[in-house]
Amino acid sequence: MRGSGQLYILLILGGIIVASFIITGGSIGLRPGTYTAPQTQQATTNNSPTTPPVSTQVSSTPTISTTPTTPPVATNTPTPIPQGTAVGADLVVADFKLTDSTGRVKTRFAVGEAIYPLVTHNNIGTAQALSPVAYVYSQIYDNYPTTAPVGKKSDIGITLRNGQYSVGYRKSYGAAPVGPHRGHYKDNKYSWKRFRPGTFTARAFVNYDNKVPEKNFSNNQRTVTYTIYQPPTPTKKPSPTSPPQGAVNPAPSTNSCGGKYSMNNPMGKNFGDPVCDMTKSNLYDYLKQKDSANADYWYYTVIPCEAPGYNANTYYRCGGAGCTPDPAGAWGLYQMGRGRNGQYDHGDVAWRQQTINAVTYRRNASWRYWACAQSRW
Amino acid sequence: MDEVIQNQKPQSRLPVKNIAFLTACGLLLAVILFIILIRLLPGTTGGEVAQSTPPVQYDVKRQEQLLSIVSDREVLNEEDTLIRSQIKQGVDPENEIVIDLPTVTIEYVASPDVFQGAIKTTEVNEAKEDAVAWFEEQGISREGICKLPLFFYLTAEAAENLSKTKIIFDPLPTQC
Repeated sequence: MRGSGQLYILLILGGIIVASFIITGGSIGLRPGTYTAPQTQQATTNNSPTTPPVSTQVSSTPTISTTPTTPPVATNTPTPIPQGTAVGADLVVADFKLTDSTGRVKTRFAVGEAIYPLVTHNNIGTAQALSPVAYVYSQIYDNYPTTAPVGKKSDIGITLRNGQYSVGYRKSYGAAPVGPHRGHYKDNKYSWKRFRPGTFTARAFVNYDNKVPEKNFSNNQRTVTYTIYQPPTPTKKPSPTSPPQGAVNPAPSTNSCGGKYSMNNPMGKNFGDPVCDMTKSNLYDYLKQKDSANADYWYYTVIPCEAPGYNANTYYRCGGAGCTPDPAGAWGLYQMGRGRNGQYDHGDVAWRQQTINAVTYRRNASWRYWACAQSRW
Repeated sequence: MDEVIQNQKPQSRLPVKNIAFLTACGLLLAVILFIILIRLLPGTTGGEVAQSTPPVQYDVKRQEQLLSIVSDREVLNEEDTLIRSQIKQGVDPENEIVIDLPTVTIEYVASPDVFQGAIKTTEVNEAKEDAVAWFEEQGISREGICKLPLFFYLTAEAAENLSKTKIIFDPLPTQC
């Protein structure tokens, strides 16, 4: 009996060992999850792509396989530390590109064009990146060719913030309206512009203030080189019409002056500048000639307000500002009618005649004809 | 009879007073209504008919300021003068364009000798800032920009898009 009792005890102990082996999946100390092997550290002051981290997939089965996987996703599962790896978070700028307002990646931008950053962050470390100030802050610089020192704020005010970065966390942040994750950019500051042609170096710096302890801080920056070019100035196409230039009132034509004018008026023609000889300079000269005392007032106050764009073919009947009192509509630079108030109430003529009509009408009556001349009423 | 006459007199005098009073009130009311009507219909005097309300209202005070800037020109400093003449040199007098930025086209108009910014967007302040930034990039001082002089106007498209807003358009750079 004594011997058989000992045998029972041995059998029970053996059963416990076998059961615990089955429960732990055959590998005590390793639980199911994704393990990211530490990446080779590199200073990222150039634009070379970062080697994607090699992930070790651990399955629930006793078999351990080491295969490359798709980019790891953020997870809150606590990850154990592989043996032989230094403990700590390691944030990197995995990718950095520039886009236009539509989100199109570009390296050439026109003078004055808005430039948006598109940056990808990745925690390739072995611990979660947690900031004592709740957020991990990153900066974008529009032109910073040398490595930015710790704590260097963005020269264009573009700051990106994110909460914690779990191990393997990888996310792209696009500042253009299409994003992705545009909301992470602070203070509604998303883009910058440059007004001088040249070549520049934009820089992205994750955890720029080093508030999050990292085991490697030398790979937190990445640059991209871009150029600013000056687009060619549009040139005026030669006029194919025959009427001599300089005539006071040439007949309306079908010449759009190289697309400068639309013929969206009841005539369906270019009545205001039929021989395409109106420049702002010519207009000002003509005003000086016809009404020297008021030339400035016409040029700076009345015309840009009455006819936006100094467009000699402006026609208006009804729209955002209501309808004209004259059912014939308002025509030309001075927005006059088609004779309702006498022979000079004509805007439906060429720009020189428009000017003569407006100046004469004003002399005979007053400035009250023009809503935009209110300061002279 | 006497009693009858005495009774009639007060009755006949009262309506005469009332009629005079009512006529005076009526005339006063007519005058007030006329004044109100004149106020409500600006530009409608003596048979004149203002053709249309402008799509965008301009800031009258700033327009007056612009007139005084262009008529009483302030002198630019030496460096700004040099840069200004360099900018002018490259301009084709046919199209008068200095540079065509995405938000604003900067023009140099020779006869009045001014720089003009044609704003192409509804983001008026952004366009103004872009134009100012462009001049600053060329080396013109912030103070010099006001003395260039530089003023803005809206293109037909921008004005149309802004016509439904209550914007009061300021033709000058913000800092001037």
